[in-house]
Amino acid sequence: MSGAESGAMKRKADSAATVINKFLQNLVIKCGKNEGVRDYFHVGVFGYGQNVGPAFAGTIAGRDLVPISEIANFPARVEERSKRVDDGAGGLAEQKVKFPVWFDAVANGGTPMCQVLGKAKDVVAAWTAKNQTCFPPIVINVTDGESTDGDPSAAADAIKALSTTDGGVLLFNVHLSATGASPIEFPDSESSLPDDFARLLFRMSSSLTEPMQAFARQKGYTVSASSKGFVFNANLEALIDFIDIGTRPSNLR
Amino acid sequence: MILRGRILALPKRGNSADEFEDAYAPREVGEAIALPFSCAVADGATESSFSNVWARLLAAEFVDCEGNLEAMEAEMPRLRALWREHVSSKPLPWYAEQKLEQGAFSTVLGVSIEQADEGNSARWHAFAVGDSCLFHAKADGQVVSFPAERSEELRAWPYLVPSRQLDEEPLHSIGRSRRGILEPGDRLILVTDAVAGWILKSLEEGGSPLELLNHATQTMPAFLAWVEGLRDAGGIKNDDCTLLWLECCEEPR
Repeated sequence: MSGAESGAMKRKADSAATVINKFLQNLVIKCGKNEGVRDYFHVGVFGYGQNVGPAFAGTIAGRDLVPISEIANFPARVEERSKRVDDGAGGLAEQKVKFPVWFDAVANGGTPMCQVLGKAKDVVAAWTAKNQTCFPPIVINVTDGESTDGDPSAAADAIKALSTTDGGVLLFNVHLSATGASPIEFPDSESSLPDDFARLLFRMSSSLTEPMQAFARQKGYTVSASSKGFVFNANLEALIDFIDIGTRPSNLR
Repeated sequence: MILRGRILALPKRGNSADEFEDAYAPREVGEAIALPFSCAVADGATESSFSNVWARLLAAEFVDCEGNLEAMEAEMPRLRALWREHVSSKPLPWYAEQKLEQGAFSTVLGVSIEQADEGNSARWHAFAVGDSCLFHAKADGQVVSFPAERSEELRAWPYLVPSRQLDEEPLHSIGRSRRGILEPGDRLILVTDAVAGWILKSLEEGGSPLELLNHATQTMPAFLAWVEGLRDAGGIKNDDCTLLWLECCEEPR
């Protein structure tokens, strides 16, 4: 999900869109197997601003939850972007990479977080009712601004109250601030957070599960049993590492 | 001394035989194997593409090199090129191309056995990277396991042999070796991590897993029924299962 503050700079909305597109790209690659993609996940992306609803563009537009193999095969477009890579001689070289886009930045309207969390709850409740033995869904709220339709705590609690036989639904939050403040990943207390809104998102976030904490430590993060699924001014790539679909080599980078 | 062997292999429940990512070499073992003899099992990582191809290459190479690690090391650039050639043989969608950049990963566990200088005993030398395990069940009931000695050592993110040139590290630096002496009546059992986990756990609980396994592996239907029963009961991880069983017998006069 993504919220874009009314009147916000397009850059902020762009960064939210890039975070989400990059997340989807990495999730597809994680599920990639030989020539295809295994349907380990069904994924929904909901935008919230002037409108609240499914945010995929292109062939899969308008759908709530889409199998990851369809997401892989139907990006709205595939852009070519440049990235800097190690040239093997101590320097950096520009490399062209394919960057699939499923979701475009929209910077208008408010940030109706209560409304979108309510929508997420409905979608997740329908899914968990049909898939009671699966790993519980993870809801990731990506926002660059404060809620404009009230305190979202109750809506967050309603999502976290859902469950499968494997545990409770997880709610993670990603706060992208325009202040350029230093990234904070998986904090275990509110004390390091810069403002009341970040502290609210921290409190709304589920704790990392024990296997996720173990993965996080293995990846070099400092986490404790109280660490939350909350990142501030950081991307979501670490979260993908935490999702376990089978043997993952420790030397895979 | 001669060896009597059998090999049993089963894909993860829900997967087809095409999706099987374990490998073993040689492809067949007989009732009267003469020494010297080498064999290997390998387990391609779920989270990498074409890891089954890489696992097959590694297991076969160990046997072709008769367990000589230096010889295998010298062949690694050729193996990596073979893997690359295999996976680049047809055009791939964007996600499969990007996944290939990560390379493939696999365990390898190989054993070479040769006649000892005197008497009716033999020497074995094992080499392992990752969590595929060797069990040496001695005629007196003692069991030696290698490289894992406890079930908790079988982690979800083992260090594995990578197919990428970039990650190249000498095999001896990422693996472990062990030697032992075989006497008539001893058994050597090579298994991938699912069966290894069950054996280790059962040993820790004071059970006699290798006796049970001996009965359960006399025929493929018996092995299938046994594994499926354990999967139903949650007693074994739902993963590919491979077992290479060798019995040491006195040579007929």
